Amino acid sequence: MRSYLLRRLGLGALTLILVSFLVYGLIRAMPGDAAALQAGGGDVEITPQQLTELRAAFGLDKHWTLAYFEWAGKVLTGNLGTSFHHRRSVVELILESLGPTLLLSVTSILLAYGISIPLGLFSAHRNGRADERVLTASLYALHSFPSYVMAILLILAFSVKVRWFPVFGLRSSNYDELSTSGKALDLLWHMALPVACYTYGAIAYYTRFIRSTIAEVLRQDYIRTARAKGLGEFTVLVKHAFRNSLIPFVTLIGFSFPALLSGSVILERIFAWPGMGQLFFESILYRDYPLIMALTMVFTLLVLAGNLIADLLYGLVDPRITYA
Amino acid sequence: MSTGKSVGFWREAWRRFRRQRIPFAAFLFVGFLALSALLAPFVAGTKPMVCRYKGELYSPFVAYYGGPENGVFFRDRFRGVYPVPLKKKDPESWAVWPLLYKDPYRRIESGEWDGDPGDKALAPPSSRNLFGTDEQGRDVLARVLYGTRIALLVGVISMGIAGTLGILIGALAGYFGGKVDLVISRIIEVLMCVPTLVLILALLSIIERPGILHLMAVIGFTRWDSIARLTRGEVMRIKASDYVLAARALGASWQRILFRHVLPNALAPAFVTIAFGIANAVLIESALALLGFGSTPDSPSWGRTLESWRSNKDCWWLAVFPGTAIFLTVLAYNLVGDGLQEATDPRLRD
Repeated sequence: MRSYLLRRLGLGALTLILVSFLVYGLIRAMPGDAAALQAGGGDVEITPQQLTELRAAFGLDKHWTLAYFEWAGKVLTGNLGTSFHHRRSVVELILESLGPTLLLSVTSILLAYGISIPLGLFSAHRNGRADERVLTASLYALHSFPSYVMAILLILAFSVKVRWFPVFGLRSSNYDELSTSGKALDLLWHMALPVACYTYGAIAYYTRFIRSTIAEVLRQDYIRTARAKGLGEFTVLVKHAFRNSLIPFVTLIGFSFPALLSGSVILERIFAWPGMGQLFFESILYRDYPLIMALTMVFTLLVLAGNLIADLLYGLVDPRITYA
Repeated sequence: MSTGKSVGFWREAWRRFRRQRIPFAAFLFVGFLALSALLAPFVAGTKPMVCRYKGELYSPFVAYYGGPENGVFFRDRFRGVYPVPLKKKDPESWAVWPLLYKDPYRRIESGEWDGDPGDKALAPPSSRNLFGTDEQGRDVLARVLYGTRIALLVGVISMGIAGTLGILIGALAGYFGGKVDLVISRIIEVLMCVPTLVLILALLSIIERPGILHLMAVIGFTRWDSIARLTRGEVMRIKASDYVLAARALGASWQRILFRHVLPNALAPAFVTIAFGIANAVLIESALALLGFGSTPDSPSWGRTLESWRSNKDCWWLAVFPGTAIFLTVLAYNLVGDGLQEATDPRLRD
């Protein structure tokens, strides 16, 4: 187990290094000057003195391999530099926005699992009947429905036509005056639409996935045995079939995390959610290279963590798998 | 695609694909989209398809295909507007117009036709503007229609790049194995670890003025990973088969074995992924246009029309029509991909 973990961590570190090298190299390889481009790309005026500062901050006055190692050395000591645009420490900015992003994505993953498991079991049970076919077809359509179009339609329906939910943001303006439970409710109220947009696609996908894996499991001999000894359909489905379909299901976490983070760039922008996606998008707008670099790394790190968790869970649900 | 010996496989796949009703309908819908993209200027436009002016025949609508506008209209100061000047400067003239006198790039001003009030900005759907107008008074139906061109272009070009790259790289990794495979697999893993939009935006940020061509290239150069992974697996599987051994025994070169014997039979999973990839590319392009990236504000990309909704939240038609267009396109490509998977899966062959 330990050597497995160490190997995975080592591979993860290698991936991170490669990603950073790639992004760093590309930023340096582009025609023109990062600092000058940054000055032209943003809305803020930049003085010549700031320009030299930027050049030095990005190591543009040195050969790019040298600058890369200098940058990497700083990263190892926890110094990710200062954002060009926000004029604040990158680490601070990321820590501030990490919470809101994880709040949405983790809630969404849990919700998706909670809803799609019963749905998947239901559709495996009703396989071939009218209600199952309607469900499967609608889930397929939902799976193809772009989350940002859904976000726009939900805002249109529930925030513009009937004002049930706020159009955007994390908190109401009177948040500070609210009691603790009021604060929690306010947060939930703001989360409702974004979480719905993050989740429905995953529900659609997971349900189809569970249905097909269970359909496969139901063909096994031990299911026939279970039925033959007179067990109820519910027990067969949940205890025998579902538990054995869990194994491929947990690996889905590994796949869904990158998609969620990708989606966060658009959805957080639409809902003006102060998370990493929004921060990343702004960093692109302002060509804020220290922030772009750091956020790309953090996003990659989160994906790697998701993959690792999925693999460890894999060992947890399937006793045949050991990481010796 | 179907060279020599592999004809049988693809003909069989096509037969099985056609038998699936819904994927086949989706395939026809994709064809309809392509046709709309091609024939958009026949349906909506402000330039005559054919007109007779001062004794000569012209076809000003070729401008919508990137063609040149005839110099005579410049000299006679038409300024891109035809109906009134045509009649005024040559009472004998006649013109055949597109079905709708609407333009995806500009609003219809008052008086373009005699006594016509012109289009208003942000007009809701009506008999005059079936899908309403945007904040510049441009007809949303015309913009959605011309948007099919962008969607088609993005899908074909970006997945053309990604498909070529993915198939080639995957084939090399699968065929040679060893160190080549190790390096390529590592690169694929790295690509898969960076969230799609994050990588694409990071790459766009290093381009001075990212346009739609850059976007297509970036999508193409970043989205080949799963195509390569699947091709690699297929090539590895087929490489071990007897007919490859036979070809090798006959002394065929590796290029011949790989490209004539192995690859044609290893393409099915790649094509399935490419179909899904097109859906994804359309999604990404519209998403970035919605965020203000890629296509220019003028371009009739569906995402751009969605973007105009963001500052006019009461105008539902700015969201619903382009949103539906994106959804139907993505759905159609996904269905085609699933149908293709079903049709090429050897386990399901009868």
